[in-house]
Parts: sequence; C-alpha cells; structure tokens
Amino acid sequence: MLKIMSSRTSRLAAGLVVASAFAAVAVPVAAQAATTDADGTLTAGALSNTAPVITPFTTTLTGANQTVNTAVGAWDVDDATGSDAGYSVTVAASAPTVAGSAADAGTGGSITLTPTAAVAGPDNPAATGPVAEAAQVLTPTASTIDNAAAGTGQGDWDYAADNGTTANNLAVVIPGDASAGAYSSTLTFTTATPVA
Amino acid sequence: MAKRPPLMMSSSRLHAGALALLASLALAAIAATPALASTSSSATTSATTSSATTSSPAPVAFALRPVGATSSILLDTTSGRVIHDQVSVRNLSGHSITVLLAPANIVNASNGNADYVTTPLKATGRWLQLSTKTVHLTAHAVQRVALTITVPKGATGASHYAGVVAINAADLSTVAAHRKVKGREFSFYHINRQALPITIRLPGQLTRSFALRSVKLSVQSAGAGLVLGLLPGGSELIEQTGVKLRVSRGGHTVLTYKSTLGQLFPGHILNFRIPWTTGRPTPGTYDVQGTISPQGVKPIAINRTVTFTAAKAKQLTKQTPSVAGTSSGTPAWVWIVLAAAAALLVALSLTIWKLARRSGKSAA
Repeated sequence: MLKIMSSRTSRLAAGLVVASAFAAVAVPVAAQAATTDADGTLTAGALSNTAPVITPFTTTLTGANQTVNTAVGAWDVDDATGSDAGYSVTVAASAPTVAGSAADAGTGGSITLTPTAAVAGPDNPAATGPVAEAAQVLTPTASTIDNAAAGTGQGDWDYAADNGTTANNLAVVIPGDASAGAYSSTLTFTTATPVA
Repeated sequence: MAKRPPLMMSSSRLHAGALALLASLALAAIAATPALASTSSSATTSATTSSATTSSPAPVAFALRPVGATSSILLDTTSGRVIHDQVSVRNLSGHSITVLLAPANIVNASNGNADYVTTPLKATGRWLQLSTKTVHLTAHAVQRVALTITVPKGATGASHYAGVVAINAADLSTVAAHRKVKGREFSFYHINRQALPITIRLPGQLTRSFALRSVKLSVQSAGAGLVLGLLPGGSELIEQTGVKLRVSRGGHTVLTYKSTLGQLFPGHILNFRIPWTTGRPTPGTYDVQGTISPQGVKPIAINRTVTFTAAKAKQLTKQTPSVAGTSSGTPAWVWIVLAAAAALLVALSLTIWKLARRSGKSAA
C-alpha cells in the first residue's frame, strides 16, 4: 500500500516537474510577446459625491420637542482626479420650512448627521479612505463630514445605507411649537480639493 | 427501583427550580423590554417613514476641473490687474446635461475646510466673473469656461480665497418638482455640488495668526456643547489645527476631546462646537484646559472657566428630548431581578449537585 502511494506520489511529482518546466518555458515566451510599448493618456475624472436619499417621515406633534430618526440612503464619494490632493465633503442644510415659512417651523429645531465610515468601492484598491468626522449639527453654514488627507481617499468610497431605527445617522429635533404641515429642508453636499 | 424516589424528588425539585428560574428570567426580560421601549419612545418619536428610498446613488454626471492644473487654481498677480483663466466642464454621462456654474466666496465651515458661499456673493468671490453660468453639454462633451479675475486697486493681503461651484441643473429641477408636492411629510432634498478652489496671491508677506476669542457652554435642541470662538488671522490659511482639551469640575474630569480641524481661512470667525457627550452639564462652573495647535502658529493654551447657569440647565431640559442609551437604557430594578435570577440559578445548581451526591450514596 505504502509502495503504491509512493509510486503515485512520484508520478504526481514528476508530472508537476514537467508542467513547471512548460510554464517556465512559456513565461519568457509570453514576456517576449508583451514587450510592445503601450502609450496612452489617462484623462482626469471628477471629484464628486452622490448624496444620500433621506427617507421622508411623518410624525404627530406632541407640544414638546421630540427627536425623530429617519433612514439615510447609501451614498458615495469618488475621487477620480488622479491628483492625490485629498478632499473634503461638506454638508449644509437649509432651515426647515413649512409652507415656505421658516418662522412657522418653531424654535430650536435641529438636524444632526452622524457620518459613517467609508468602505472602498468594488475594484478600488486604495488602502486609506476619507475619515468620517464626528456628528454634526447641520446649519446653512457647511460642516465637514468627511476629510481625505493628501495621498488618501483615491477612487470610489461607499457609505452604506442605515435603516433609520437601529442604526440612526440622521436625527431631527421637531420643536414643540412647530406648526403642522409639510416640511422640507435641502441638504447641499459639496466636494472640493483642499485650497492651495 | 429504590433509586427512583430520590430521583423523582430531585426531578420535581429540579422542575420547580427551573420554573422559578425561567419565571425570573422571563420577568426580567419582559420588564426590560418595555423599559427599553419607553426609554426610546421618550427619546425618539415613532415616525412613519415613506417607502424605502435607500437605493444606490446615481452615477455622477459631470466633472469640474481646472485647466492646466491638477486640482486647484493658484494665481499670482498684483492689485488692480485683470487676469484670465479657465475651468473645464466634462459630461461624464451618455446623455445631454446642463451644468450651472457660480462664483463663490470661501468662509470657514463649522469644523474647518472651505464653505463655498454663493449667495450673497461677498469679498473675493466678487472678483470672479465667468463667461457663462450655464453650460449645455451633449453626451461626453467638454466645454471650457473663461474665468476673469479682477483684483481691485488697493487690494492688500497676500492671499485671497474664492472658488467656482457647479451643480447639475437636473438636481435643482428635482428639488423644485418635489417641493410642489403637497403632503404632511418632512422631506429632505439634496444637491450635489463640485467646487474648485482658487487662491489669488498678491505681493506681501505670508503670515498666520490665531486667537481664541471665547469659550462658552451653549445649549441647543441637539444637546449641550462647548463652543470655542476661534479667529484665524494673518494673510494665509492654516492647513490644520489640533484641538485637545479637558473639562473638569473639582479636579474630576467630565469631558475629554481631541480632534483636528481642517483648513482655516483668515479673517473668518469660527464657532467650533464640541458636543457634550457625557450626559448633561449641571449648574456650576467647569474648568476647561487644553491646547489648540494651529499648524505654523505657536500653540495656544486653553485655561478658562465656564459657568453653566441654572437657567441654562432649565433651558437644556426644556429643549432637549431625553437621550436614549447615553449610558444604559435598562433601569436599575431590571438588573436587580436579573441578579436574583442568577442567584437562583446558582442555588439550583447547588441543589442538583447535592441531590446527585445523595443519590450516588444511596446507590452505593
């Protein structure tokens, strides 16, 4: 039995040696065939982001301030510039309005966004992505939510959607004195390279 | 057969013990569930959300780029001169798009980096003129847009900062269309902007300065926060600024914070808010100590005392909904029940062991 196994092993080893020899011969041949110069220009792409869709919600006014969490959709940031300059993503939120009036939206409301960590997009080999900032209270003055230092954040980076219940990245405080009606706020996401 | 009665006895004792244990655990579990539910309901209102709108983001339609530079525009000039440059807008999509361009002034974002402000257009932003503000592009087309920068006579200061921002007109149309829809929802719209920074450098010494203007404990519905009034100065931006501080009362540390702010632009005050993440402040004074380290500027020591008045505490309670899960959402009595259940489990194990020993002896 041992003898048979040994003989099989020997045959296998011999086969591998022959296959390796063929491979060794094939590699230089292939290398010789691939020595043609390939010239080309890689055109810089965009530095951009695609903002998340934020799920609208309805709630009942209680007369006291209340916090409502709502789902933040998937989004991404893409540095296809090839510049390695780094970048930042900022978000500004317009004051919520009801029937076009910010005054009727009550006093002391707020929108807080908690940025999450980015994951390299499919086929993006970059090792270090943009760094998520701490939770930001969004106002008409922009807040940085993500920051990529020079030499980081290249390529596509994805942010997973949350579910608005167990994972909450957007919290809205509805003032106790808010008027009933349809509310809206516009979030402006801006991507930019650092200023020189 | 002589062995059966003790076993039967132990089985029935076991059964009773197990039942008691299960009952205790069930009681604890039931008790914990509404407790957690009520904690979260006091903090977060159950909101009805619309259909899931968490689809993958749409691909980016265009690219705004400088011409003849890699990522940003840097121009050397003198006061009173008019200089010309270009930006390019490329349609990355397979269909026609319209891109809207606008000059912007740069101020500080709330935690550093550039905030591109287009309305009202102020300061250096007013030096910029674009040959067109609307660019129509067929699929994969590229268009260059001329940029004219008029530096006012008598302009001083070594560095001035502005930018060009671009948005896809379709984004605005979507927002406008949605706004017409009447309903009772709280809706969010979004706009994606690409911004291109422009630095205009005039003759003069490049300097940096930094001042800590104020330290306050502020209250808003999002919670309490320590607000540092920061004023970067000089004639050049500060690349990054480290902030490290400790808030204490009577020698006991209440809050520690460490962070790095992005680029800061001179002449624009920044009220940097550090959220009070450890519960809520209580009336009295707090000592704030630490260091602010702007790059290229001598570090600034923070050594201040802030007062949190009873009125502020009342305002905080009034404005801020209870915060769920800041420490533990489970009330103390639930832990007591769980501890009792654990003790019962130990007692039950001991009983089983004793009975097993006794039955072993009987068998012998």
